[in-house]
Amino acid sequence: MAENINNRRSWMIVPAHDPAAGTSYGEIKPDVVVLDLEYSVPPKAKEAARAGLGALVKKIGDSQTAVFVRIDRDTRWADVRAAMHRGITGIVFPGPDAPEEVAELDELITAMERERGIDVGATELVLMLESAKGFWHADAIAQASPRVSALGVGRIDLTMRLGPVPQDEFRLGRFLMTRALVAARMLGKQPLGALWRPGSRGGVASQPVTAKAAAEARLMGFTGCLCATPEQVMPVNDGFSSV
Amino acid sequence: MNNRVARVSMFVTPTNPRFIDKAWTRGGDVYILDIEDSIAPAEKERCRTLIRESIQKANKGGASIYVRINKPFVDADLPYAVWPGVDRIMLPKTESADDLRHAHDIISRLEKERGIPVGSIELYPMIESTLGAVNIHDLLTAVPRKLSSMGGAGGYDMAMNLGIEMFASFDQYAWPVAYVALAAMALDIEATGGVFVPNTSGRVDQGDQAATQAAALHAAGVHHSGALHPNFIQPLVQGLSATTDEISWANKVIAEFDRLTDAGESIGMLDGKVVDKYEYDRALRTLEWAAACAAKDAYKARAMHRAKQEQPA
Repeated sequence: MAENINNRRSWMIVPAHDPAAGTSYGEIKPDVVVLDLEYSVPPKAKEAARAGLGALVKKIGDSQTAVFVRIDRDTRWADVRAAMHRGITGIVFPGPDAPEEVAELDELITAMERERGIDVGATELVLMLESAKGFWHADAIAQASPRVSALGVGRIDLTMRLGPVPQDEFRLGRFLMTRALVAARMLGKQPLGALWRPGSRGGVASQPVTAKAAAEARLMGFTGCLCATPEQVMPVNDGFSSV
Repeated sequence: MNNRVARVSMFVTPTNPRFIDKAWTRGGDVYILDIEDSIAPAEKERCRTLIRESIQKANKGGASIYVRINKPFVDADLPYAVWPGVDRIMLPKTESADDLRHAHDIISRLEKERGIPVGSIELYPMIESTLGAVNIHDLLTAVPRKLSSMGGAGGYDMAMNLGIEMFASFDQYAWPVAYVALAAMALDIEATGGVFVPNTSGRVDQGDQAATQAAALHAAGVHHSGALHPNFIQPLVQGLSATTDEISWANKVIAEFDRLTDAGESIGMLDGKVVDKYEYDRALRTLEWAAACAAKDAYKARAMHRAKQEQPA
């Protein structure tokens, strides 16, 4: 595991099928590269994205940059098999609902570590909570595997259909962030999340909006978040850096 | 009509002819026949005997009917509350799974005796204390009966229990409201949650409050509200229905996402907005909600028409 997991501020999403996936992070220098098999990969490119992961993981891993693969919940077994190559730092699992799902994935990762000659137990697991079930069982989910190194708040406004409230936040947003934060801190995991405001969040958030979302999350206790675009890496790094 | 559309519910007091005889003309989705806090102790016995005939009075305009009973008198109240035409029983101050099991058992027996399909009357545990909030997950898994959850958990009794000031400029109820709502969502139980709108006036009868409340709930994605005043009913019914703009946008999003899917894509843009599986899902739900509202409104209109024809000139 990394020296201090809370030093990983920016987790840059890179679509795994993007021809520039192996080079685009170089100048941007995110703390973590997250090769994506999920949201940013269209169905027609999914097979090619999986097939290219071996080379990408090795290349990015060789450059001493932490490299994760974000799997798709619905196809998580095949995605983990495609992702596990020497050089991988860990798996990002969006939307776990129950501890059993995490334990099952842990076993699959162990099997793949043996098969691919990776140190058994070395692969981390990052859990991004996105469902009511996931948040309700946050503590148990985060304890379901010793691999879990970070617990994050995913796209809750979209996945849980939480609209804006008059306080310029998403309904239940602050509560759910606190729930993830408490579980993460209690268990010594890195808390991941940003305080996105309605109107401009995720992939369409501008740099100033992103910097504010990160800075506010830092005040709440979070130490890093996913960056949907390369432009968000700098403001996220700034927002999560202590001043 | 046990339609899921309950945009606005209002308490009516069966003991007051002025309210119970006229309530239906206001066009609410739900009327709650109250035996609890709006009824003075000396009137409760008389109130119980009025529930059965009040159902037919209050649902004349096509509204669903709930009955709110008393926590200390569950055994005595339920035989007067479980009748054909009652959609839900509201159980105030619910604090434990045993509270729910007890009510469930009595309701099941009464349903059987009275020719009501067993299990068809829903239970609505009202969470009005910290203990009830903390026990919410146990509560909501206690009985094999359809439940609705009071995602509110933010009323007068909760304020008393927490020792907080009710009318504050910030959300005093944030924790219990969110905790209860999350448990319900995690169990796929419909939660009648609220959205905090600052009200430091202490008044609950101001005309513009209804529109403000409706707009806040609508934006947050909450489809239910309570009216404390009959003047709130129409603004809430209208404010919580899907708008024509929302419906036409939903149709465009669905068409665009279908096109993307056929092309093997998953993310697109439409009028400067992202179209993806989340927007597609939202659009489908908008259309479902619009159809449910339309069905409820048509049902109410037919009932209202019949009732007006039957009225003595």
